[in-house]
Amino acid sequence: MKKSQFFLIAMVVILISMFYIYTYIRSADQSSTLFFDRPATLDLQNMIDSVQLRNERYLAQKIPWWNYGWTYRNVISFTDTYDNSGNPAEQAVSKTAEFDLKIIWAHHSNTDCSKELRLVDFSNAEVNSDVNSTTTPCSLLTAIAWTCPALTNCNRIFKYYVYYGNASATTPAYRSTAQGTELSSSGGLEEADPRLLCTHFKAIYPKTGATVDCSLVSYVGNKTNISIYYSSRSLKFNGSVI
Amino acid sequence: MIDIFDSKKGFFFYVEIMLVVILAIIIWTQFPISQQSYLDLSAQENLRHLGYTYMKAIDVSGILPKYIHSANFSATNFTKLRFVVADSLPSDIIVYPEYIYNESLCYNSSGSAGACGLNTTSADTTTVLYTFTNSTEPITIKLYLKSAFGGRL
Repeated sequence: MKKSQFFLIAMVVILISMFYIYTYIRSADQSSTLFFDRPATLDLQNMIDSVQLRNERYLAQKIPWWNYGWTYRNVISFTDTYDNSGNPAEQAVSKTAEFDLKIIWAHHSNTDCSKELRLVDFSNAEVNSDVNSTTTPCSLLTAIAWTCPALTNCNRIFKYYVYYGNASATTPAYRSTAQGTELSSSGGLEEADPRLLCTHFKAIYPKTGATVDCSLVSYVGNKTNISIYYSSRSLKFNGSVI
Repeated sequence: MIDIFDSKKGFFFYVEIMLVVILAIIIWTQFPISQQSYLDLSAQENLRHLGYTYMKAIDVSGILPKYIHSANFSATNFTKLRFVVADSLPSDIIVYPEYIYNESLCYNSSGSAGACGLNTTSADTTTVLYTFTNSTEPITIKLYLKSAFGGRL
């Protein structure tokens, strides 16, 4: 092969190579950025939507949170019945009611029941309560007093909120370990404010390659203002969502 | 003038050059050219938007809460929810939901708990996250989406 032929072939190969390099560089410059980095707009949108949706559901709860230091609350309802037939002297009922809590113990932040549990009535006033045991599962006890209005069998429904999920709570001064009259209760968990979302976001989004920070800013009325910081190669956001 | 074939050294030099050129061509041809990768990415972005919009729609309309237990996530009806999602999206889209409970625990579409991430995904599968908040603990649903007519990338 002549030297000139080899030179010609080499030039052609170099030109072809340059063409492919050019197309590759264009890929790296434009779409390859997205190819190697997850598109971030929907991830950010998901965080914002989640906070707003959670706020809406939280607002739908008519009675505001008693204390934001507690993460969860359950509505607790129990019925006290009284056989008052033919005994007018005992119309007034006064006893210590002990009821099971129907709460999710996995959300309990403290191993000592006496520290964390709080009983609050529907006017948001804390009600003195005791526990039957300091270890889970434990029940709450509270003094109830009511009057049976007629000489018949009658009953009365009591409704409270039980608050839990506060690792830094300390035992209230009024609390002791006691026993009472056991009453079955019913009730369900209500939505906690969007702070729980922050823990969730910070756990899962770093796995997508993004840097995420999320924290509580303030409570505006019954709304929770959440600060979100999101940073990936293609998108940066730093703002608060309510 | 000495021809390169005239010496053993020159011959091997020529062979090496050709091998390098062939190798370089093979590597370069495997790179996605910008136009095609752009189209593929656009198709995947459309899939992601479709998945996210759909998940949000069934959440706010109250369909999603029927299948996800508000207080006990492990009691969620995973299998039925998967069929609801698959039946609602176009039939040429293959979809697998995964439920992210926290950074280390996930449930697959059959409800089995385990490590996060599906092993059966192909290169053109895209994912989108939707966080479900109507429960005690937030749950993120990760949809694995793939067009049945895809196959590039």
